[in-house]
Amino acid sequence: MLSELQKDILCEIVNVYIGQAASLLSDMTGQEIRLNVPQVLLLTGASIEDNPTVADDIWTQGHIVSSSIVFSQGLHGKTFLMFPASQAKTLVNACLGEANLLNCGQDSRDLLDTDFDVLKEVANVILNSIMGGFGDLLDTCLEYSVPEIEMLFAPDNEQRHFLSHQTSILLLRTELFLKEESVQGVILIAFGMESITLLLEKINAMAEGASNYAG
Amino acid sequence: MLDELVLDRIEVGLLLLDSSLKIVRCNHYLENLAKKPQQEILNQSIDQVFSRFALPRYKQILLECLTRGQIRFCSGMMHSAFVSPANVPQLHHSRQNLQVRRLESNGDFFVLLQITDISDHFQRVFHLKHLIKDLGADYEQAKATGESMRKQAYYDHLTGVYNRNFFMHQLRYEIKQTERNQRQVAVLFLDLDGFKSVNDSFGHSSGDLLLQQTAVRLRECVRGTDIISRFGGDEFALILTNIEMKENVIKVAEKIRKSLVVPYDLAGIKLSVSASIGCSLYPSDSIDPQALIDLADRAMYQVKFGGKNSVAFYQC
Repeated sequence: MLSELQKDILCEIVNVYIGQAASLLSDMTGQEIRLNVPQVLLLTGASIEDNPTVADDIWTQGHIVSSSIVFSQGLHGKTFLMFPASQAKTLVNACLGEANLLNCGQDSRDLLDTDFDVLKEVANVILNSIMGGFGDLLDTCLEYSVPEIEMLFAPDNEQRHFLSHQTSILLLRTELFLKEESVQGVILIAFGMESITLLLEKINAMAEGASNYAG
Repeated sequence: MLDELVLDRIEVGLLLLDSSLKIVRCNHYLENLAKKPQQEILNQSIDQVFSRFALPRYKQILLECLTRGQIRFCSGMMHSAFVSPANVPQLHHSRQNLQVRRLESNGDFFVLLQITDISDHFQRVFHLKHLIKDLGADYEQAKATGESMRKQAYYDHLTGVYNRNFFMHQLRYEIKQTERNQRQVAVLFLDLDGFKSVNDSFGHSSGDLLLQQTAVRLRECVRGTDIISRFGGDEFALILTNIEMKENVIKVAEKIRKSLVVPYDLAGIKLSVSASIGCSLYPSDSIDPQALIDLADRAMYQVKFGGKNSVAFYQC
């Protein structure tokens, strides 16, 4: 688990990366898109065993649109951006500057394959920005896979099960603010053991620097 | 040789850039898409051959890929086309997906661009979306027309109360309901006294205003569950439901009569009228809806002949 100071540092770092992504998305769509990360959690197998419901409030009911990128070399793992499918169409329409048609934007069955392309790019921009930022932070190069997108249906208990199979997961709850609506999403970064150690060492060094500065 | 053949046969446009963003390789599909021969493409900077890549945002994507190794996907839905035929402005409906990734060979970095044409697909989606939009508009219009027709079918357009058709339909319905609960239903037939002289003296617009204000006062005198309708001219008919005693009908009718004798202000014209009201009661007077109306009508005429401005049940 992260201390409050570690959480603050991570949250601040990630918000900078995600601010860059928002700027890119705004530029691409010609619309103001704001993004932030209001919540950061580090989940390990042990912490989930101790408290199985620790991340319950981040899970979404029903269908999820999940976009993922595998990263390797300097850091190892896989990163995901997940949206509830019910909000995905709203996000797509906002990106394309289109209004919801016949108020049918709340049904995952309304997603066309071109909509998945748009979601894939949005996720690609956000995940690249965050992972690129972590690469810079740790002064290391990463190799990335081609982004993948899929529609998942996972009941709550299966979502929790997914966590228990990963070594360590950095979990960031995101909020995308579009013109008149906000879309909630979750970013999961599943790090390998060595990678999380590297990251925590860096965060601790920064925390120590901050304490010394404060002292 | 086989590699070359495969690259030229695949249905994806390929461009390979060196670290200075010069095009070092392109396949046959890309040549066809750009309508340019290889000689005009190779060894040129990408932004000189394909103007889209002169835009800072796309240049940045290429540079980010080179320096960070990040793979980037760009949806044609958001970016339209990246490669368009030479000297031809970008077609409005032309759409291409782009994937950018870094390749390394003998310590040198290259950028591989894969361009997939989705124009046909985009056209289908475009038409489908417009079809849905048109259907939505048609649906809204049909709904509005249906609503307007329903109003015309059931309401009196001048006063906003129900019309005669709806009154008849509702009277039959209320009688059926009352058969079950052992209560009674009353019909009131109301005619304004001296309405013709209002029209003759002050004009039809004043007459219309008087009818509208009469409808408002009627609404104030009865329960929300009672039915008010205009039969035509200055005649109104009401259904009072769930009646326990005959005296209650007289009470309500009297309340209405008293309310209607209060002077009216018709856009500055102040005048007073009264009303003659006839009543009938289901089931004691009749069980037939039309007979109930006729009895109330006759009772109203008895009031008229008896001096107007009063309330009565029909007396044989």
